[in-house]
Amino acid sequence: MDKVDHSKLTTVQNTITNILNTVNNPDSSVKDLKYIIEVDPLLTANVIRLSNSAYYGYPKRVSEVQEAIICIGFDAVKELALSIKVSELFAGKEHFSGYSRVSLWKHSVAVALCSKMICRREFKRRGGNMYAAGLLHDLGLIILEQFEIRMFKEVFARNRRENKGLVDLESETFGFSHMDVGKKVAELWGFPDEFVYAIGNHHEPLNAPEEFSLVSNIIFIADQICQSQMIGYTEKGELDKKTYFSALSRIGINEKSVELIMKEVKTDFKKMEDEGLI
Amino acid sequence: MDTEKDIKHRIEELEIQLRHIQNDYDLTRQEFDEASGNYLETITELHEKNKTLLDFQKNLEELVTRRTKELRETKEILQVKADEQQVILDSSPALIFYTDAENRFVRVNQSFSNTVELPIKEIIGKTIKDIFPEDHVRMERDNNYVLRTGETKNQILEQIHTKKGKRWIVSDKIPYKDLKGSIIGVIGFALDITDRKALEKQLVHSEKLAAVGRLVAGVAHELNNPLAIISGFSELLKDAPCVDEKNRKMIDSIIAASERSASIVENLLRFSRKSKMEKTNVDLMKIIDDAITMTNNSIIGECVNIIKQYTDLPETDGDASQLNSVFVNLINNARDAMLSAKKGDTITISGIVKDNVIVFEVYDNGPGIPDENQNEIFDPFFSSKEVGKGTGLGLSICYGIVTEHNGTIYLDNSYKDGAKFVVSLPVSETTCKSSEENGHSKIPEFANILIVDDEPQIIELEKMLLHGLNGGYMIDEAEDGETALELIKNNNFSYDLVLCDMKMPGSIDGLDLYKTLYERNKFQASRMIFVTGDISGETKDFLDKNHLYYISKPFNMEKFTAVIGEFFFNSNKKK
Repeated sequence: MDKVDHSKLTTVQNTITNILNTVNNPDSSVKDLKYIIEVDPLLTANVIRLSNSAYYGYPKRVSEVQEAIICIGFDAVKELALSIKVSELFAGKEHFSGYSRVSLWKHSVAVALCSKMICRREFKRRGGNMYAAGLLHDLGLIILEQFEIRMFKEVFARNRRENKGLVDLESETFGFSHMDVGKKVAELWGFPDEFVYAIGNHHEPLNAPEEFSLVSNIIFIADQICQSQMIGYTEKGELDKKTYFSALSRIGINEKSVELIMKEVKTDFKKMEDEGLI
Repeated sequence: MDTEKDIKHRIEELEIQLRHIQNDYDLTRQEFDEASGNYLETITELHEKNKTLLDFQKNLEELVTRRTKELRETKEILQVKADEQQVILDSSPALIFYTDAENRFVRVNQSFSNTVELPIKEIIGKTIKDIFPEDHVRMERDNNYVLRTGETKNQILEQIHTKKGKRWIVSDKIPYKDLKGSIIGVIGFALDITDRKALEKQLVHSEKLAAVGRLVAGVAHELNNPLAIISGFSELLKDAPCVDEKNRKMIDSIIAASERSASIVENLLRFSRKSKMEKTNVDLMKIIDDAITMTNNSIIGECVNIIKQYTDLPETDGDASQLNSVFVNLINNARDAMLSAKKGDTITISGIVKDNVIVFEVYDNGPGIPDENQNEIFDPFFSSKEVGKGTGLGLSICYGIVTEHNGTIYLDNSYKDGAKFVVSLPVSETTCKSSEENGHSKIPEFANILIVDDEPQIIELEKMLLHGLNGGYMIDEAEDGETALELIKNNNFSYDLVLCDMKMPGSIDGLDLYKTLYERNKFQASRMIFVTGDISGETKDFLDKNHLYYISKPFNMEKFTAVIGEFFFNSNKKK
């Protein structure tokens, strides 16, 4: 656990935490976001570059973070910055037994998109947090992979061979799951509580405390549906249909809605892929 | 064919989609508003920043205008001050200069420029070596001392070479420090004291002259007594019966020699005194004629011609005998020079009147005066003659006499054919009557006489002279004033004649005796005849003013008799 403390991940952590805090703070202004981004020149460069991509459909050239925030939107820039930063966590070409960082990243983005859309379209909420939560929900996996690679590989191999769920296998091997790891790290890094619980319960949404129930459930649903659609990394094994439907009813949305949303997600995802945003 | 179920499904889907889009749209709308707000905020901020910038720019422009004006005004003030400073610096007679650390002139004032005879522009930038090529080593040494130590060097006395010649200057050199206190140059003040030094030299010179004068006067006085004795007794001896022709001739020589000595002494005294002369109308033509006659006597046989070139000349105010001796001297000098150089034979004296001044030229065709001596000829004791021939006092006395007569005398050195002296004298302003001479005389048959003199031989002499006049005189003697007074008292203040020396040792001299007697017994005081070796201004004034009689030493029988005679004649009249 403590290995995680000191690592190259720390710099990434700072930026992410800062962005998350901005997201959570209703008073945060354009300036605040601007400063957070501009402190990191690489991030700034990437934000500006990607702001100009056709994905955002802004006709004029964006050359400054402030401009980007105004022209393509505060939330859009937030999400973009977050994506860029988080993707650094996923940098690397490791892959084995059906797992690769790249595919995990793609999965995370899909989950992020889906969660956000569910939030917006079903619940008429902005969904910035959802996006972030989606990106980070499998943080635990990254951590485990980086620090317990041997055992991690084993778990994945077994997942491929046997038909047991990943979480169970993890519990067996480590004594805890990637959810726990993710949760712990989120706490350690000072993420807002929402995230802590979203990450910590993304396979067991029904266990989440009441106030974070919505978030956890949405993440769970998104996760499940993305996996069933096989976007990016997919866990081997049966989907937990029972929990799925409980979650749906828990938060009051129907399957059809989710399906329709998923369609959009796929389209969007493709667009992003094409524009090099993923 | 779409069944009802299908349509129902489709509608359901569409409804969901609609709801989704609606929600999304509303949210997007919100986001858009927010974005617009952000945008507006940014624009407003920009606008305000722009306004601030414009204000600032306006302020800056005003500030610049103001500062430029201030700067120009300050510049003008500075210029005025600089000009003022320059005026002050230039008005100073002192040489003021400022050199930098490399001994280059940064600034100089007008006096400096005048002294080195270069315009200020040509001095600035040059080094000390450039301006003072002959003196720079010493000057640089002083400057460098000041630069190095930061100490002032005061009262540096030095000579500098300028186009006008060598000048003496006294300078002060002061280190010039900048704001941080480091020495960046030297400021100098110098005064040209050449004239002052010349004056000092002159002063020393005149003091020397005065000292010499006093010495000479003292000596001359001393000489008068022995001379009186020599000539007096010689004259008496001449008439003595035992003296034969041969001896008489020898006595004549003695008398001549003593007369010559007396003349020399008189010259010496004249030289040393600040004499007030008798001012009368003087006919210069007559004086020159006299001078020619006098010198002719000694020129006989020596083939020197004297040519007179003047006709009618006005009179001047002055002392005839003094002016006479001036021309005698000039003629004698010319003659002596021509004789010893065996060149020349003519002396010309010309005279014209110009602007109320009579200008004489006395020139010869002799050897002239060498260049190196020309500055010194009027100095006392300067003589080009051999030792023993001439005292060297001639020209300096002439100079004194002519100057006293408000005239000028100088050597005209543009005349190359010999020596030419130019003497100018002012035309007489008044005509004054010459004093009458009394020719009357009476020698009484009997008289009670007191002789007072510190020199016993003089007493002897006077006694003999008096007995020569009349053997029956009763003569008493006193060798000093106190004794005389005693005798007079004892005689009840009734001497017929008191023949008294002026200068006597002791507390009472001739004048004192007179004054004492005058208070106690005017009769006795009126019976005094003074015998004096020096008839100079003050004494003469006193005697003349009080109408007192005097005989000057050395005297001869003639003079002696004349004065005694006149005295008794007049005093008898008073009785």
